[in-house]
Amino acid sequence: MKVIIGADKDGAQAKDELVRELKEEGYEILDLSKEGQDFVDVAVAVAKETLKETDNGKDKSENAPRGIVIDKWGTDAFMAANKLKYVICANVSDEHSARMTRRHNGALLITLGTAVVGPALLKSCAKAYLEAPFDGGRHMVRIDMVNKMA
Amino acid sequence: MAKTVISIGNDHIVTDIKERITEHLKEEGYEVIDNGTYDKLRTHYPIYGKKTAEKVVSGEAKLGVVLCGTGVGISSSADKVPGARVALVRDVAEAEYARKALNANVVAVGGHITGVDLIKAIVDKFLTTEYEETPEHEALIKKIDALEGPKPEQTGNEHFFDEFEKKWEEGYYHD
Repeated sequence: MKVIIGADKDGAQAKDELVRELKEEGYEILDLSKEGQDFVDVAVAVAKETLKETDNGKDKSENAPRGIVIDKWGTDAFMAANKLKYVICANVSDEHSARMTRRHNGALLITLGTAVVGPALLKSCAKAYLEAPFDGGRHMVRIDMVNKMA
Repeated sequence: MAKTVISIGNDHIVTDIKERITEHLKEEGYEVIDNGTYDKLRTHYPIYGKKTAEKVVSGEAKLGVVLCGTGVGISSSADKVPGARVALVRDVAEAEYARKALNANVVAVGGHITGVDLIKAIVDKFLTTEYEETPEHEALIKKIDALEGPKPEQTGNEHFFDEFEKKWEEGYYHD
């Protein structure tokens, strides 16, 4: 599975550690982090690339690419990413939300804040998200509604 | 003095939690606009996320609170309302940061993720924290606002989701 990842300066170290671990587990990583980016830049870059690689989020199959953004608070990158059409982004700080947001919302990407979660929790949230399937079915009506919103 | 008005909305998974938060807000002296849903019948979070955030952006309410199971569905819907700045949080610090730095106007929590007492503490902090206007904060908010697309038929349109509700009733969406 391809994981599209990005971090600002506050998330850089955690991102590097996560990338190392995900690579060891066989994930393909596309790291979009660039010097001088703020959380809005990172959120937009990761969201747009993940949209591009999933046919605007329509591909929610088991191995479909997913995005991860790491900054200081998570909730700010979340606020920015969801402004984009077809983006469903979740700010998570627990594994259950990370898993359920892929299963029920088909979340295109998640955001994680290093001021909020420690290194171990950050990794375990990321993995919970990446390993979860999308349930589809009744949940699709809500996703179709969200996608109609600009 | 006129009471501060708060707009609140939820899906069917957490109606009971919403009622407890509404009760708490009233005890704290707020006036609450409850946008539903009002029972536990299966419905769809975008309807209530959109309604709740639109009341905030229009100025009918000062700030908003949205809840669903994880908070994700209703908060991503609410954030797609032009002018809404939604913070999905699980702790007080994030809520405070979002108000102070980003002038967030809607707070979202997972009613099945965060306990009722912590939700109350998060909401209390969110509603009582003032935005700190600085050039840096203003620039970030402008940058986020600029991501919004044009939405000519969306705002205030109560029939915006009708096509999907019709398909739902016809059994098009099933597990």
